[in-house]
Amino acid sequence: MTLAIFFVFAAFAVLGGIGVLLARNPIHSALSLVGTMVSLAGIYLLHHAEFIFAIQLMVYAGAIMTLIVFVIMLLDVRHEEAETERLGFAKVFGMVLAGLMVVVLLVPLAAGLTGKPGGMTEEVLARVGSVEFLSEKLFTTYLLPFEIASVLLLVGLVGAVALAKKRL
Amino acid sequence: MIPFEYSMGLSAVLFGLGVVGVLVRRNVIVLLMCVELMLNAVNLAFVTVADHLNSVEGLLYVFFVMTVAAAEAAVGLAIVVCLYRARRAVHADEISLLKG
Repeated sequence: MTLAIFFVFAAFAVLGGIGVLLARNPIHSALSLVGTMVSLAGIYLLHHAEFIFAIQLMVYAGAIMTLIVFVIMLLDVRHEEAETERLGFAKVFGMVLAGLMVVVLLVPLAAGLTGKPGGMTEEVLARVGSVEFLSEKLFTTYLLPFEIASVLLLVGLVGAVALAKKRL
Repeated sequence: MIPFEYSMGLSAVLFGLGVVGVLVRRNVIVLLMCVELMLNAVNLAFVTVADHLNSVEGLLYVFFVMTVAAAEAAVGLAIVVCLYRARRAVHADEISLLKG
């Protein structure tokens, strides 16, 4: 049953990805990308990552995609739709290289996964839950990266305003 | 329990789609969306391995990747708005100011 749900989500994710590539109108690309992100959120839930599921929906499908759609509508890029669709040599070559890269990415899977198991075992999950365990790690062991991430967001915020504003 | 290979395969396929998009499409906003697609594929790989190894660190990495992606989207789209205001162009081929 879980596997069937996974395949449904995976199919939607891949279809959304193809939609991003093929859609002429950037708005359609953006909506396909929302579909991919929501499907990925479902897959995260199947992988017992409840917190990531929630922030995938809120941050990615919600905030970032809203920003992208907003900018597309602000710029009115309709007249840009005469995108050169002829397949030049460079494009075909690029696609072949990208396909090769997918194969290269898949090759190490055959060797299986090596790595040290972490502490998020079934017993811990049953006792404290994955969100609580994750937040405990985030605010103790990984507190410095967390604070740096907040500074990064502040810099991004100031940078975006400074770039997009006509006159400071 | 989903086999580890399936999720990683999906992640590789989505990453490949993102790469093809960056190579083929010429609209700057679509290029940014394809970069987001690649970041999502990487996030899926992190979540898969974290689930497989019972590790919480993979999930924390996803959290930080999302933070960086949010900052990147904000700054990138601000640059697109700037470009459009200065040159009326969102087409990557038309933006060749540094070509000389």
